[in-house]
Amino acid sequence: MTMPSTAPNSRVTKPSSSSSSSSRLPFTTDSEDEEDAFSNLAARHKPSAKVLPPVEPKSLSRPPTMVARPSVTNPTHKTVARNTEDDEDDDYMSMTVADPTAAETPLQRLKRQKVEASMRGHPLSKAELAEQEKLKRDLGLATSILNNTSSKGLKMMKAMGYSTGSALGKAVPTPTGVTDAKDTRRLEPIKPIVRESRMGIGHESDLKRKFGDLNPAGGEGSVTKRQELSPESYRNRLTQEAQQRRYEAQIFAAQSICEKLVAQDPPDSYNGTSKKSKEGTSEEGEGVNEPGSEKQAEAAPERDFFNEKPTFTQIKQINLIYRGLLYRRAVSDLKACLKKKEQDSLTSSKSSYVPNPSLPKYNATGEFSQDDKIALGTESEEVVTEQELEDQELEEFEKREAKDRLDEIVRYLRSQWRYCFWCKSRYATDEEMDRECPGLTEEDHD
Amino acid sequence: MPGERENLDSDRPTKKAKVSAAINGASKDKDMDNPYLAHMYAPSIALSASQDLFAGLTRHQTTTAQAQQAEDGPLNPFTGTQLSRQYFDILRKRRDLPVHAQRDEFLRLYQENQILVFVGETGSGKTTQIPQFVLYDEKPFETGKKVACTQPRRVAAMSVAKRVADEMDVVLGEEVGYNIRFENNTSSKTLLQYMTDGMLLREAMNDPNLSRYSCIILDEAHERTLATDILMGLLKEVARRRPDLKIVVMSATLDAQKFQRYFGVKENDYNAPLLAVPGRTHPVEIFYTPEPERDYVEAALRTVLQIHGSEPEGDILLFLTGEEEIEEACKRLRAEGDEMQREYDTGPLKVYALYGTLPPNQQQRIFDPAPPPARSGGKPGRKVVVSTNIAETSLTIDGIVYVVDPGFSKQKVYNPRIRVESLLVSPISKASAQQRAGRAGRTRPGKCFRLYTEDAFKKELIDQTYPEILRSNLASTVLELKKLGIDDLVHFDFMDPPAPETMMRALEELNYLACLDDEGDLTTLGRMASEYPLDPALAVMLISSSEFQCASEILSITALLSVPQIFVRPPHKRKEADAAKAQFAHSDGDHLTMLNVYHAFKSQESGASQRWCLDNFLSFRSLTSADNVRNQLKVIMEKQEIDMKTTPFNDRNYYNNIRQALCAGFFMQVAKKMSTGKTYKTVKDNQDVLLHPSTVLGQESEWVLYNEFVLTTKNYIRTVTSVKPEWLMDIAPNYYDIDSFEKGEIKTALVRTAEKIARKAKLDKRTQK
Repeated sequence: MTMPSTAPNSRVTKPSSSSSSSSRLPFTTDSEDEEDAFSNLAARHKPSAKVLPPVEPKSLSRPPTMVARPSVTNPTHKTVARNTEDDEDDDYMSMTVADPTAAETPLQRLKRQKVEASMRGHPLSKAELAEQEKLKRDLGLATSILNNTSSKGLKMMKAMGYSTGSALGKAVPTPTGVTDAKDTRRLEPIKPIVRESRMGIGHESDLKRKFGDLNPAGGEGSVTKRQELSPESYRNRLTQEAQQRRYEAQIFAAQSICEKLVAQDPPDSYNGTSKKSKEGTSEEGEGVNEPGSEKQAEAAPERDFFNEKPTFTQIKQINLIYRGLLYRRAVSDLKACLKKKEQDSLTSSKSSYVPNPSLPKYNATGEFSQDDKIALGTESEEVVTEQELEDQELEEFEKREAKDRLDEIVRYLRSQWRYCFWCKSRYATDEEMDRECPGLTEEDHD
Repeated sequence: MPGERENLDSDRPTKKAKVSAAINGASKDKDMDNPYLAHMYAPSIALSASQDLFAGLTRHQTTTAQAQQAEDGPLNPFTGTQLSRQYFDILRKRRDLPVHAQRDEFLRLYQENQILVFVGETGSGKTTQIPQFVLYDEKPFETGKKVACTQPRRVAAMSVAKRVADEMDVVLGEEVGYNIRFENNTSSKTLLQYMTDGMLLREAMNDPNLSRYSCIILDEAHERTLATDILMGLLKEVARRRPDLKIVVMSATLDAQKFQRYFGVKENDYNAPLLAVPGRTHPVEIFYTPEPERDYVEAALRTVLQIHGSEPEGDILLFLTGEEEIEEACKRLRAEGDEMQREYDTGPLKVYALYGTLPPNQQQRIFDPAPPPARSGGKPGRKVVVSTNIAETSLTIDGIVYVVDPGFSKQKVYNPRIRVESLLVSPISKASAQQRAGRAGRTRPGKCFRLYTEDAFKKELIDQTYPEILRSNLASTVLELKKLGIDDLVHFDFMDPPAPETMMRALEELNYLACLDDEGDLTTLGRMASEYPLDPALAVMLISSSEFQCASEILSITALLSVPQIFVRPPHKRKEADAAKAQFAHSDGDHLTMLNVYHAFKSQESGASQRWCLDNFLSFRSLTSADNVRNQLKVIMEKQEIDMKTTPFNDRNYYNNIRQALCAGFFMQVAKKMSTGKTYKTVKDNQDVLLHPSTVLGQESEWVLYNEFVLTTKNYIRTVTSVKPEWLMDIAPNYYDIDSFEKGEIKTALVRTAEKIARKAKLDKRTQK
């Protein structure tokens, strides 16, 4: 292995061989320092990269559930996030040495090296790679190359009289009398959109209309929509989204714990003690039912949830703290169910082509028989009305900031079961909890 | 892009004449056969007999009556021979066409204006009749100038020319001819020439005033191909320089106002005159689905079978997106159709596929009539054509009564930001949807089944399909424009100007390729490259190949890259096909593998090669076509006096030289393997890419050069060959300037390479001492 150079940028000069070779080819004559389209962009990013952790798609791409899975107790994911700017780089060593501001204690270095080793040891999964690929692609597609002022292409265009921000060509002649004729000349290239399924036109937007954007952690569509952003704000937004996704994952984890604890140990056994920790419950206020009052409503149906699927009406009875979890599960079950029905109908409806020679989808009245509806999968036997799907209370709750919701669930776990989400353990007594557990927040547990 | 390049034989007329004279030792007769020289021998176009038949007609003052009289014979006004019976049969039908009713109006507008916009829906007869109307008025044998009619597609140019030759009772290739890539079927007698738009554009590069033509008809302008768009901008300028040149822009859609405004004069608020002829179409009833479809292919098959089972006689046209999807659909429809016939006694169902890469003889089969009833008194048979959007405007299939439209087509999209060009399945436009529906009303009232809701039609479809110029890499277009003498590309009068970034990228790439200097002027290399009907990267590779002593090999590779895929991989024989390909595999990559195939192909005896291709899962058509392209390119190379000498095959640098020569053209299309796994990263745009599964290259290559970066569900690089970073830094020092790279694995690797080069140089110096 070659020793990593301490300052790669300064030490490297142009290899002498390159200049001698330039005579070999007819097109290497202009030897002026050529700057690549992206170098300038890179230079512009450097300062900001020091202020905020640069968005390293790799760290984003780890599914949030992986970092916050309750069974995983080591806190390394935080360190990972902090250090990922290095792991893209072979020569992280040289970089840390070169930068005097990044003074590391031996302990920190040990920790970092450990993390880095583990990163190298665990190659990214296919799904992670795919997501990383997509993120980089979206970032690339959202970054205008017109910002790269050193591009010779841009210089040539400027020489022809182009000014950044304007369109090419001649303005379309406006017919007299028409004042609002739009200038349709393009300012941005067309964005390629990859369709991953054979969904018909309008199906996607129809799904969104029906089910809403129930999966904020997915964030698939949101990344592709906005494209007219500066690279900085785009990166900022990615960072924020990553944080959001982390919160959502933690919420998911906390809710799962909550669900389990309810099953093992219904909240009524802690009825008395939970009242003690006042600051824990007082803020729950309007969103959460008082543990006492929810006792009857909750206990009965919840026990069955592990054996049978609850209906949407039942779900509405559940404590808001983890109702979202069950709701989403039910919705995805419903979707899968609908999909399966349609696939069944595709194969089974074959026999209906001829005996009943009418086009079920296109008859004159626009109405179709119940049979057709079922066969076409547009209606299932277990009818779920939109009204049932609607859950105002839950919507209100989910609208709140993710951090806020997470805090609330954490407090609820503490007050109900003396379970600390961050220590990942249950304490026998309040005193023990006060003594052992460093505090309410994740930072306290650092 | 392979297949889109036109006209390899558009050399400068005089030079070409010299070459052919030198090669063939030919006399003046030979020159006269050369269509490029036709204008030099103009008077000879006319035949003495024909002049008499046109005696009473004054150019640009003819009337319909006069023309009809000439048409009625009994002698052919163009050849002076007796007209055949077939001619009069066709003539009767021609007089019934919708355009014929407006011949007077057309002539009046044509004679009064320099530029005319003509709108005729499909079936109006515009493509065959208008050029003939023009011919009677232009009298090309008087002026020695021809009439040209452009078509976006080769096949269309060919088949229309054939039809018009029949209508005029002349031999195809004489008075009426066609000129498409690799096939110039015209002669010194040619008065009317059908040609691809790309071909005319190439001709303009050497004859900026298009002086050989008195009238240019741009047909199918609504398709807005890249070449048509550039031609329109160009013709606007030529029209100013040449007041005698007439231009007819023909479109099949009603969005004609845009053309009128474009060809009008802004200051005077003058729009080019428009003549619209209604097509002969029957009403089409349109049905929408009540709910969006979950799977458009399934829905399409279901709909086709339901039509077959329940609707009255009439053929079905189903639009799908690509070869694979179409073949799959055909297979399933055939199976289901047979079952329906067996079980429910429906009529027989005949299923045909139609897509661009289908061999022409198979494309012809779609015109077969629907099958007869299986038994006398049985239900009538039905034909189903499953097609890409070829059948949308360019091909007309009679007998179609039902159209099934899932609303998608494959469209090319290029994005300059990450330099990716892909064919992506995209929703069609409203205009396209209307066009598709119209196909159902050709013979009698029809029905169109749209597999989306009416709401989705209104809200989710764009009005017009994006013209090609907005979806393409413009490197070769920019080079063409420069060659055409257009210096101010920014203010060139594009009908739809491309995005500034696309232009910027094109200029930048041409600068790295040294085709343009820093001022944006054509260099010698650029001038040479523009002579090739190729992407600039390929042209530059070809020109510099002699420096690596492998011109012949690079010529073969270039030809192979310019034709459709040479490897055939039928779905039911994938394993066998892969095994056959493995015989040719070269461990350094796909380019060299293709070269191995070509060499093996050429070593076959001429009679046996077709069989050999079949046995080895290779496309005979593509390989023959590559051979043809190779010959055409070779002529240009020889004209440019490029040294064709090659490295002997047993030299150990034989393959290294070829790989280096590849770098000379494709140094901007390189990816490096990342330390973290299988992924590669494109050198400058920071995109993660994977080697396409079709590659023969193992995963161990650190640096690879690729022919294409395509987007499917993943980022793929296709047709890859392993290269060395030393070569890249040596061949393209400007592009591989280390300072211009962002910090990262690639930069580090380049720094190490530079150190290695420096060390080696030092060592060499020492040993020399």
